[in-house]
Amino acid sequence: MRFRAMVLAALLLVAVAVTVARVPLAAAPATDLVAAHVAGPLPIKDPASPLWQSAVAIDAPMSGQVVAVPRAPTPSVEAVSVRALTDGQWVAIRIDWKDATKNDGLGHDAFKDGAAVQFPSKGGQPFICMGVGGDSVNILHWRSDFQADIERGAGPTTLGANPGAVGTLYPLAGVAGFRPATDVGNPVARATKTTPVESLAAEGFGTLAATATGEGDGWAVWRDGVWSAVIARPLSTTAVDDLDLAPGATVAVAFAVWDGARGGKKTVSSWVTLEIGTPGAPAPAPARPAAPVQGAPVPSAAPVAESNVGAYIAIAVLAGVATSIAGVTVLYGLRRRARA
Amino acid sequence: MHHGLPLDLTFGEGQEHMWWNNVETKPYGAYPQAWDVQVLSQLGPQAWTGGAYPGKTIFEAAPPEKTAVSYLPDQREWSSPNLYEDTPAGEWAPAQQLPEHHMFMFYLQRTCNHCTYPACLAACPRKAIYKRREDGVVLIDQQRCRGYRRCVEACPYKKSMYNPVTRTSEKCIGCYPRIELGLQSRCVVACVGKIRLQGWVSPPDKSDPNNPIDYLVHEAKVALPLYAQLGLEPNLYYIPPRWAPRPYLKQLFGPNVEQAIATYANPDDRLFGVLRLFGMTDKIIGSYQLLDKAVRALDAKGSEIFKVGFDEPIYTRPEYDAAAGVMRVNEP
Repeated sequence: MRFRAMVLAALLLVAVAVTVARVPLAAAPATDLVAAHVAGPLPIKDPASPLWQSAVAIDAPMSGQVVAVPRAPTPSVEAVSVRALTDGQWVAIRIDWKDATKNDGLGHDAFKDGAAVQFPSKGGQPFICMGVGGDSVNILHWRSDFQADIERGAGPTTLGANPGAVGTLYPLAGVAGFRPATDVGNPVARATKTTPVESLAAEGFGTLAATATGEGDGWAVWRDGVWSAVIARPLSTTAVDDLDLAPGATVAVAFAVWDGARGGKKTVSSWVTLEIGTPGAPAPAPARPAAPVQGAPVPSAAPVAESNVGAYIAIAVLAGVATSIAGVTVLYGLRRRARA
Repeated sequence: MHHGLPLDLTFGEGQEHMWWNNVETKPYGAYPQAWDVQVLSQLGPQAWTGGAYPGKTIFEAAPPEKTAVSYLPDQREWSSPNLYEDTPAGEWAPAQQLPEHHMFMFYLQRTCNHCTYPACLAACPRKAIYKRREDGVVLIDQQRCRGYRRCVEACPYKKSMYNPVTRTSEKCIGCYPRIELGLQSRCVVACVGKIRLQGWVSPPDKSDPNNPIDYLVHEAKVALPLYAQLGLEPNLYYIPPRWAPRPYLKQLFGPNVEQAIATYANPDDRLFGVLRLFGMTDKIIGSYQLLDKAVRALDAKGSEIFKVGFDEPIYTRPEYDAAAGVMRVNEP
């Protein structure tokens, strides 16, 4: 018992020292994902564009979300396949993942499918769970329900969203005051959508808010049990919660997907390093096996082999310390694929 | 919603608020369908011991991934608010008499309970739900809500409701703009049966017998919370119907049903006086004074709102009104 306690204390000290001193960890952060530079325009609205073949895909292993209720310990997919393109102005990321059903979330018990890319607001790697106070993240969230609104040309209607309803006789229909969320400018209640991608900022669970100036765009296609979603943002930005990027920059990104069929619960990745490619740069060696083309099943994650052990000890111990107050020990984001 | 047309107009635009304030008929009516039976069966059998409840609340019995034992009603369960309404239970028998009818049904008025421990608030991952410090009204911030529906799932009374048009959850706002003006909520004031009364309730140990709500809840104990065993400390209190089978009433209102009905059925002057306050004013009554076969209602500042006798005066007038030259009909 005492030995175990000492080991834990030693680990904690190592973790604290590593964190405080910002000691470079054993392996310097390698580039996982490279946004291949292509001559524009980027296929932001076309996940099936042949231009995507210019990018090398990687698999990001996914895990459930067990920190905040409602928890979902099991991920909806084992991994997502990710690739990225840039034209020097924007960066576009395409996420492919398996989802047996297409859910657009219309109705009382229906939840949407979705995908998100998380960037640090100030660089580095903020707390993976949507950041932490003072170290926020920028989240670009593609939503199947917003895309359905755009395809329909309008937001959900009373009759469309309530199959039990056969008529509406209200003489003041459409008058302001009966849709409070719309009237107070809640982005999810906006009647007309211009993009299926929300640009959001967060500094921890429960703090998500629309960014004032952030820009996001994209489009997704569901075919044969696979979603393929493009999420894009401008590299250069003045939005306070968004990191200003440029060709050649390296930035941490993390991914999340939602399967509406399981009630809107999130499946998340760890941080992955993204390099914004430059013109004329040689095609990068694949950091991980290329993912199959769109429409085919995404391979499941390979067995775990650890690298960057120090980082994971630090994360695990800090997460353990942080959450032991709540009586929950969280081992979060420990699954990692072997490097090729 | 209640006694609605067969085609369901409740979903109509501008009528969303009707969801927040419904009347269902017990035992079979329930909106959404079977909400109470589903919550109780998920919680599992629990027992009252005398007047105490050693059983588990929905929070204590919660699985690790949730804040409370709960379920999210599906589309079908929301779709037919009138299903099983006005359907009595039990077998008909001739000459049914109090205290219990073999065949029974009664009306149950339902709005948000503005609970002391709101399960909706606890379940919201976005902390978009808050309980107002000044009056205890529980609100969903329509600017922050993102329609995750965890509140809809967690509320055992199912009084937080998803609006698929705005993609946010909505609920009864307790008419807080009226409360701020010292006025009772619209559903209370508009009740044609004059069977609703709204005011402030004190904690049990600070009960003020001159406050009508405290008197009904803490002193006379004729008004009981709905499904108190779930652990939310709801702030709506019901005077149980006298004729319904006691085991069923005890499931709804707890073990003090017998005593509440006995007191209500034979009210003393004080209780009768307090019951006379129902439906008499749109103002929130802060306190009352019992007079000789009459009662006076005072506002929060102690000013008189009205005075009313226990018995309505009876006026007898000639059948023919000579001044107006008309026959009088039998109306006040």
